[in-house]
Amino acid sequence: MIWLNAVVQGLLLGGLYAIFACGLSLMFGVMRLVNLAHGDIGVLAAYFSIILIEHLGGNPLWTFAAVVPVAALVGYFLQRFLFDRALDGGELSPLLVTFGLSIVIENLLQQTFGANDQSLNIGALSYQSWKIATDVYVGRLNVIIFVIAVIVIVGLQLFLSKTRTGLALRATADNRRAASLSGINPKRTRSIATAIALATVAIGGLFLAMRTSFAPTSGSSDLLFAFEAVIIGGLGNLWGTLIGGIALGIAQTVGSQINAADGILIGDLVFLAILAFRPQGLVGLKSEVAR
Amino acid sequence: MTHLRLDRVTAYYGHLQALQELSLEVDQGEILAVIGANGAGKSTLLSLISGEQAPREGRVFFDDIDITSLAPHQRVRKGIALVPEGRHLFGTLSVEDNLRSGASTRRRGTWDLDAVYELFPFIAARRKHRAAVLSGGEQQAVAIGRALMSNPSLLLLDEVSLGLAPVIIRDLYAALQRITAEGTTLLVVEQNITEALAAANYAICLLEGRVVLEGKPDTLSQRAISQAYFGHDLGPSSKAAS
Amino acid sequence: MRNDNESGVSERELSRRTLLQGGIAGLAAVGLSGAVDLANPLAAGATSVGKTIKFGYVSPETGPLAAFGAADTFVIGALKSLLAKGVTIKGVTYPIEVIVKDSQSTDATAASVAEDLIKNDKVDVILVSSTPDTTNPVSDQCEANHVPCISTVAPWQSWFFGRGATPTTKYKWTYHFFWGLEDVEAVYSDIWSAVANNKIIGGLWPNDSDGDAFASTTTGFPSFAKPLGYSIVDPGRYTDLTTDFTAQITAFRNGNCEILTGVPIPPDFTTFYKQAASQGYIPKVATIAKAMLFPSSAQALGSLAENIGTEYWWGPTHPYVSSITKQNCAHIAADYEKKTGDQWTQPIGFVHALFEVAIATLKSSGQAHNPSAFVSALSKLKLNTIVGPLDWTKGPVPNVTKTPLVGGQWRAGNTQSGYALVVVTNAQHPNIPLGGKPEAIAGATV
Repeated sequence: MIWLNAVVQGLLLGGLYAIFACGLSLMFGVMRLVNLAHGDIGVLAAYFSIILIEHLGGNPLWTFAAVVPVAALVGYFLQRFLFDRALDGGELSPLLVTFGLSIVIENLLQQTFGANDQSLNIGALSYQSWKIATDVYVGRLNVIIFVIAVIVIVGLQLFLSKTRTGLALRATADNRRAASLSGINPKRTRSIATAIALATVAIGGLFLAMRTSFAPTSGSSDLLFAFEAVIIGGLGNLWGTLIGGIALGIAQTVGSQINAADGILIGDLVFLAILAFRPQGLVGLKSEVAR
Repeated sequence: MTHLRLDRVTAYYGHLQALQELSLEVDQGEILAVIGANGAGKSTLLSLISGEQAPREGRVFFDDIDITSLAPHQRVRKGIALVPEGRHLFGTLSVEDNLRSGASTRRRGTWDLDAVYELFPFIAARRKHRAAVLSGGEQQAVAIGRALMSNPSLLLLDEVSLGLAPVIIRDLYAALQRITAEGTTLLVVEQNITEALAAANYAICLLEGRVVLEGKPDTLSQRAISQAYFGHDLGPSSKAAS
Repeated sequence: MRNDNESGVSERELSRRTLLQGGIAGLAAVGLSGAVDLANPLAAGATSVGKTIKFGYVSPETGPLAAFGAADTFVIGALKSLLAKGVTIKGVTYPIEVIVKDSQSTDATAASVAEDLIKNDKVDVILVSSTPDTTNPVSDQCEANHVPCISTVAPWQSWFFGRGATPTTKYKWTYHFFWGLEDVEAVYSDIWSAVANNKIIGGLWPNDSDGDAFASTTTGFPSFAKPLGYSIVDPGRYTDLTTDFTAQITAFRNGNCEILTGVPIPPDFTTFYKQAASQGYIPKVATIAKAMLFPSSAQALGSLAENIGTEYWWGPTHPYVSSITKQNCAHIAADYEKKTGDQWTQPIGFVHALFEVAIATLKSSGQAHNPSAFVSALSKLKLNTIVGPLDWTKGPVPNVTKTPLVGGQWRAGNTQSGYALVVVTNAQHPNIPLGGKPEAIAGATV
C-alpha cells in the first residue's frame, strides 16, 4: 500500500509538472527558445490572482477566468516586442533576454509584494481528499490539477492536429524557413505559441499557489522540474511532456519512499539517465506514420 | 502584362556581390528558365523574388506593385510560391499536413488536395506517412504540391531535378507542363540545362551576377550557352565533346 | 538587485512623535550608567565632530530567507536619523553611517559582501542577522580580517559549533546573542506536555544546517526527547523545496505520531501540511520552527494554522525597552505595522537590538575606530535591550549570550493575516506574560 500510495501521489504530482512543462515544450518546439522566465511568469500569474482577490474577493478559483486570458495576451505581445527581437540576435541572446526577464520579474515582485510567502487560499478544497484504498488518499485539489492537466494537454494536442493555426505551429516547429515559404506568418505563429505557453503556465502557477505557498523567487525551482519533465518526455512532444511529468513525479515520490533524502535526487537521476541513454525522450519519434 | 519585374537589383551573398544591377521581366504565363553555373547568382535571384532576402539596391515589382519590402509569407499571399532547393519538407508532419500547410494563405484557385493527388498519384497513397520517410522523387512531388496548394500565379522552382533519377525528372517536368496549362507563370532555376531549356519558352543565363545571354531556347546555340555558362570559350576540344 | 542601499528609508521615518512616546514610555534604568543621549549629543557636552563611524549590516533581503530581512529597512530607517546625529565619546561626536548589504540568502554571497564591506567600505563594525547561512560566513570573514562583528538570529550552537569551534574556543572578533537548541527543546516540550498525547514525535527535519542540528542524535531533539520518554519517527533528511511529502506523511501516519515537530522552510511546510491534511494526517500538537515564525505562513495555511506552535523570541508583549529610543516592544511593533502596513514579525526586535549593542559597546569602549577596544568592551558588555538583558560575561560559551525564549501558538485573530502568534508557555521566563495556554489541534486524525 505504501508503494501504491507513492505511485498514486507521484502520478498526481506529474499533472502539475506537465502543466508547467507543456508551454516550455511548445515554445522550444516552435522557436527553439528556452524561456528561462517560464517559472517566474507562473509565479507572476499567482500574484496577479492575489491582487484580484484582494480587490474583488471571492474564491481564488474564479481568477482563472481572468488571469489565463490576460497571460495569453501578455504572451502574444511579449513575443512580438521582446522575444522576436531576441531571436534575431543570434543563439545566445534569447537565453540572455529570458534570463534577464526572470531577474526583472523576481525583483519587481520582491519590491511590490515583499519577500513573504503567499498562498491562494481556496479553503478546505486544498486539503480535502477521497480515500481510494486503505491508507491511500487522493487530495481533491491534486485530482483536479491532474484532470485539468490532461484536459489542457489533450486540448492542446487536438488544437495542434486539427486546426489551421495548429498546423501552422507544427509546420513552424518543424522547419521555419519552409513555413514562411508556405505562407505561414512566422511572427503571428510565434506570438500564438507564446500566448499559449503563458496561458498554460498561468494555470500551473495558480494551481501551485493553491497547493503550496510561493514567494517572488519560487519560479526557478518550478522551471527546473518543468524542464526535466520536458526532457524526460521528449522535446516538442506534448504527450511526451505529460508522460515526462508523470515519470518525474513518480520518480520523486517513490524515491522519497525509498529514502526521504533522495526524492528529488532520484528525479534528477532519471532526468540524467534519459539525457544520456535516450536523448529523444521516453516518447521519441519511431513510427513511420506521422502524429 | 509584366507579371514580375526586377529593376536594377543588386544583392550580396555574405560579403560577395551576388547580383549586379540585374533587371528582368517575366510575363504572365511564361516559362522562364534561369541557368548558370554554381555561384552565378541564381539562388540569390530566387530569394529576392520569394522575399527571403532584400536587395541592397533596386526594386521588385509584382503585377506592377512594389513588393520589395514584403516578407516571404506576404508574397505567398500575393501569389508567389517557391519550391526551395533541397525541398525543405516538414519532415515530422504527414504528407497531407505538408500539403495543407501550403493552403494557409487561403488563396482561391484550381489547386486543392484532390487536384494535387491527381497530379501526383504516387503520393496520394502515402498521405499519412511522415514526409521524412519518403523517397527523393516523392518528396519533390510533395514540395511542388505544397507550393501549388497556395494557388500561386508565379511558381519558383529551385533545382527540382537535383539528385533525382532521370525517369523521375521526366515525370516532374511533365507535371510542370500541366501546371502551366492552368495559367501559372513558372520560373525554373536549374543546373540541369537540358530539361530546363526543353520546358522553357524563354531563358536567361547568369554569370557573376549579370545576365549574359537571353532569348528563346531554340534560338540559343550550344556554343553561346557554354560560353555564357562558363564565362569563356571552351575551345575546340570541348566543342567536339558537346 | 538591491544590494548596496544605505538604509533605504528616509530620515523622516523616525518621527518626533515616536521619540516622544518613547520618552513617556521610557522606563528609565536602561543601558549603561552614564549613557549618552544619542538623540541630543550636544547636551552631553560634545564639542567637536569626529570621523564617521561605519557600520556594515548584512542580512538576507532577497531569496528564500528574505522574510527574515523584511524588518531591516524599517528598523534601520527608524534609527537612521538618530545614528546620523552620531554617538558622543569623550566629548567628540562621531556620526554613524550604516551600509546595508544583501546576502541574497546564500552563504557565498554573505561571505563576499562581508569581504566587500571590510576591504572596500572599510567599516568599523559588522552587524549580521538571520540564520546560520548568513551569520556564519560573515562572522568567519570578520574573524579572519580582525573586524568586530555582532551576530544574532541563529541558534547559538549553529553559530558557535557550526563554525567549527569547541567549547573552549575563544573567538577574538565575533560575538553572538540568541537562544539555543536547549531553549527551543524546553519550550517545545512545555507545549507537548500541556496536551494529552501518546508521546510519539514525528520529525520533519530537512537536509540543511538547521535540520541537521535539530535531528542530531547526540545534540539535537532525539537526545533531548528520548530520556523524557518520547519516541521519535524520523523518516530522514529531505531536500528543501520538495514538492511532495507523501513518504513523510505515510511514516508519521503509520507511526501514529501525535506530536509533529520540525524546522522546514516556509513553502515546504505549507506543502507538507496541506498534503498531510489531505492524506489523513493531522497531529494533536505541532511545534514548527522557522516556517511558522511568520504571519504569512499562517495565512498560507488558512484555518489549518490554528494552534500550530512555534518558538517565540520577540513580540509586542515582551516587557523590554530599547536602550536607544526608550520605546517598549509594543510601540516598536505598532510602529512597524503602521509604517509598513504589514503584521509585526519576530526579527524586528533583534535587528533593533544589534544597533543597541553596537552603540553601547562604542560608548563603553571609550574610543572610536579602535577595533581592539571595541571587542574588549563587547566581551564585558551588560545591556538591557529590547530583546531582554544581554550579558557576555556569563556564557554559555565564550562570545555568546542568550536571550529569553518562550512558546507560542497561532490563533485566529483580528490581524492583517487573520492569525496572531500568542505566548502560551513561559516556564523559563515567567516575566514574559502569557496570552493563552497550549491547546490541541482540532480535528487530529492520529
